[in-house]
Amino acid sequence: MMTWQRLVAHKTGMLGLVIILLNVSVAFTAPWVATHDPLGMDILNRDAPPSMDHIFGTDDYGRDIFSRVVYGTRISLYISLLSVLVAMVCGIGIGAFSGYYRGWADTVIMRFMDALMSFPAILLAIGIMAVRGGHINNVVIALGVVYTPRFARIVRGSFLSLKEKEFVEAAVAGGNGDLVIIFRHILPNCMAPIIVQATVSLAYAILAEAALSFLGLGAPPPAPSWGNILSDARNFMLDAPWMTIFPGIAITFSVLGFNLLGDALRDVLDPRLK
Amino acid sequence: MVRYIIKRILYIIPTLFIVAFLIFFLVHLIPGDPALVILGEDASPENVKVVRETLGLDKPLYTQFVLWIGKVGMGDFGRSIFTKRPVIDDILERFPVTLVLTTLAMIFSLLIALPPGIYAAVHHNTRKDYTFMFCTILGVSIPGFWLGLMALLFFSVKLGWFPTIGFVPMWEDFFVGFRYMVLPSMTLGLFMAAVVARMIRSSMLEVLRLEYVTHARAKGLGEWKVIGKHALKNAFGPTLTTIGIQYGMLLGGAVITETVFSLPGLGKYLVLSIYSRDYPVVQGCILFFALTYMVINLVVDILYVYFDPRIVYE
Amino acid sequence: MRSGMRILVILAVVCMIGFGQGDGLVGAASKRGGEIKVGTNADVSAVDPHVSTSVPNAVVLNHIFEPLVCYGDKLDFVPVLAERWEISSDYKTYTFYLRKNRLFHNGREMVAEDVKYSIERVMDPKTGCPFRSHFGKIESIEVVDKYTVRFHMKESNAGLLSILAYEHPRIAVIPKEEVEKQGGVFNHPVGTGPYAFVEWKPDRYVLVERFEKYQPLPGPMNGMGGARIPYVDKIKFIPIGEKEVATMALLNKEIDFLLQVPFKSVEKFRKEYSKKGIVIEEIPGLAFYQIFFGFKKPITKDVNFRKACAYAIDRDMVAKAATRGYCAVNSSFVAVKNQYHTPYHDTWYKKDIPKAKALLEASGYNGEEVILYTSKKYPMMYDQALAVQSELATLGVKIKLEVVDLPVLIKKFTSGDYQMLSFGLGAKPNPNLAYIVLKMNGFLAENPRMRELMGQASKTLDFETRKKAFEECHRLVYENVPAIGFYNYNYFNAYHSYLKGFKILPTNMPRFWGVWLEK
Repeated sequence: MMTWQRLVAHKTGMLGLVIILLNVSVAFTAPWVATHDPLGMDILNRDAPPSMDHIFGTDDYGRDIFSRVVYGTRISLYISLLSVLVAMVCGIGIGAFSGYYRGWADTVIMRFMDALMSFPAILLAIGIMAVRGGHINNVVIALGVVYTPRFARIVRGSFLSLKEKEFVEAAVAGGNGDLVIIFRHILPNCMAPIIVQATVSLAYAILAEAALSFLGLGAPPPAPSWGNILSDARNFMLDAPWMTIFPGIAITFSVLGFNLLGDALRDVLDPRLK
Repeated sequence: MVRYIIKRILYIIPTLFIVAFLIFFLVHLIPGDPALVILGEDASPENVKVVRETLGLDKPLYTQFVLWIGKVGMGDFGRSIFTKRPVIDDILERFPVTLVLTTLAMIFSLLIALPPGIYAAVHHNTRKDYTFMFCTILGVSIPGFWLGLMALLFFSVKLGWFPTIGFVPMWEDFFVGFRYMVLPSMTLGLFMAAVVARMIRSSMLEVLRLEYVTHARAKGLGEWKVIGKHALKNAFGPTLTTIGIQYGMLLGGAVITETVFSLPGLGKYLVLSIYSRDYPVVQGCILFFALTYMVINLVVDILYVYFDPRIVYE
Repeated sequence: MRSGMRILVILAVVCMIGFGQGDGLVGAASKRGGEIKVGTNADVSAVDPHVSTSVPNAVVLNHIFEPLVCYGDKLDFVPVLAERWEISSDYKTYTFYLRKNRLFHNGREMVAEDVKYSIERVMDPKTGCPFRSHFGKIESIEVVDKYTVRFHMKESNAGLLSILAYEHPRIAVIPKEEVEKQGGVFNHPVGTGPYAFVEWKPDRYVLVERFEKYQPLPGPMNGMGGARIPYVDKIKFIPIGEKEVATMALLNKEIDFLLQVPFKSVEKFRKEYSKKGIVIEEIPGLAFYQIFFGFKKPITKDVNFRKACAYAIDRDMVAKAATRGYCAVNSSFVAVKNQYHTPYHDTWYKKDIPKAKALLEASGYNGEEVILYTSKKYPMMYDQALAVQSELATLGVKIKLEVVDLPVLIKKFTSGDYQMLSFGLGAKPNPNLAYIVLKMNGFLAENPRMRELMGQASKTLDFETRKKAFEECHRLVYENVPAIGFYNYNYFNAYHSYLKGFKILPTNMPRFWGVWLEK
């Protein structure tokens, strides 16, 4: 396919893909890549600078930061992938229903989506986390809820324009049921903006998790999420700045990967913008 | 035109109501009891009962909602459980700080973003363009609080250019106040700058391809005039919309920035009141944030008409 | 020596004594002036003393108000607004004789009527004082004459003095007309203290300035009493949430005084920052951190399990983890620096894994998960929980850490609805107020002897009787292990060396009177 070829040729996009694949492989091979137990405390060795034994140094409980960052990859990928998946499924469902059937249901639903979107994302996530309490799956739910309206909007918008097209008329004339039309005919043609939004949301999810952990509302400790590691380290910026650098780089790097890929996809899938 | 504006304003009301409904029940589902937070380890059942009654927490939930929404309509957001002061007073005292922070961040980001964005669009597909794109992507990948703390460490402690703490409102003393706001607003604005830069670049690219630009060039108009008067004006429309939407991100980011830089704004107040379960404050703040966001977008939508009059007829 | 010289020497000695005591006029004048900027870790929640509950409020309000009686440096009762008092032998009547010429910041003299008004305002449910119930034991307050006020208790109660001292400044004496002028909510508080309230800009600072007509009390500075001489003109209390930022602000001289220095920074302060002219002071504190056991849930309600835990945990290790050793290891509810602390209170279990294992088996523990609640809000609370988890793991007990928000933690604590919970208590000069928390986890309900002892201690002010009662209380705690206390941690204050005269207290309540700037 033309798009695949163009994607592969897109240099920065490929760089992004490489970064993402690197992340994924670290997540899978964490037990082998990590040098220590990420939860193992060693009080006598706390706040140690990077050394041969502890590549990134140790944190305030003597835990090896390198191993924590490695295992943190699992948590960030888990949270970002799952929350975007949740948002996609819900958003596509809502947007498709709304865009296809229109009517008062559409108005009410979209009003609701607008209301959700009028909360700054972080605040909505904070609110949901405060209600549900600290647990990694609650972060997934919170972020999923935050991103759903964005997907819903995109899908609805696409449905509105596509529904009038000829091929839909043809499908209707062919006697296809509504669901078939929605999922087999219209939806595949909206995938482009959905995919782009997905990569954008994946990137934001990692940043959002970091922000929630900074406020104490993310995955509960001692989970080695990057946000938690960074948040723990913020009390050591003057004394042990290395504690912040490594998780910070990990976050920036991963987000960079998703953003680069997302940009490439946008360029490739929507040639007008190139 | 006027009808369009009125329509947009009226649109806000039902949305706001839904938001209020969501907020109220969201907040009241939060576990933990403000009475216990107030009393701490001195909480005995008698003490708790008294405090709860004083706060009106013993009434059924829907009664509390109706009472609250009614008062909100009058502009009474209730009283803070802790300070006993009217919530609206606390909000109005802190809101200007957040507003100044986000507005300055917006201005900084536009200043940082527009020139390179336009430049990159004009020099599309060159090395400069790619470098630019990479920089902007990097800009949106850095966690805000990390950047803030690093900035403090570098610019305040090491270089001593800016103070680490404190706040003087800019309406009291413009230059001193400005100095306190520089680091926080630049930190907050960096993320937005990257987003805006990309947006302006892509809309410019889209516009530069269009026929009337070619036409303008063919007419012999100077390149800068082409870019400035024709392309930019039309490209700015979608950028403006993005700015409106991104303002929501700024409001959210303000929460983090205010915490890092100890600014007495609404975002920090909201987070602190969530920790202490000060329900009326939490509800009032979130409602206020939502309202602000809606108003900003309303303004954006109205301004959009200047850039693209066609929208009125849609 | 010739007589002339003798006279001169005598004069010189007299002058020195005169100046040494209460700082003679010359000395005082040269020290006056300046503004101190104090970095605290949280903003005040209210400036009305009867509504305020938290420590950040007390830090500020201590400068604005004066109590009837307060705790001195050695935790003795020091008369402040009251010159002396008389207690009836049945502990039902307390008569306070007030000092004369104590002026409110509005210029009016404080009299007995004000005391009656203030305490009644505290007792009024409409005010919303969270500690109202402490004063519920008062039957009535009688104004005997202009400077005498009498408290009639409902029943024999030896605790009134300690309540009045402990709760300060939250039960300050305030003038009625000022409150009424402000419509009932005291937004611009007026007291009799050395500093008067100027303004509170929420989230930014609280500013107080010297009350020119303030008369320091006789005697040296003693706790919250004694001579409180306001040298500096103004004090600004600035809340800074981020600890690193607070340190940065101190280094930048944006604040002069930092109220809490994190343990991990102490070494750096001592070695590096001291070269920049920063002084760091340490004092053993009166506050505690413990792990509580819930008596309502399985396994932790079995004394064998609790004892097993006590045998298994190395308290020094936990103390080191949580405080880096800046503490006094102590498992009694009577703090090490408390006057009631005797060597008996040091009785506790030594780490003994075989004994622990035997007791664990006796309890019927089956390898199930035991939930330990904690919060991340107070680092020590969290750190000790982690350490306990790891210590009990060596015994084979599986601890699951549940990190919750502080309000949720408090709810659990007060309801006793938990197996294990990591918690901290503030300073309790009166041990009765420390032991009373054992009501919440269910221990007191099961232990009538404990209740008896506490009742005994509350009915008298006799030191020996109370001392013995508390020793027995500790014996019961030792035998039943309702909680494992770990340490009384030390407090650290840091400030620039140009700030002179500061003396830290074991309650970490800072005093900025008697302090001057030498710039």
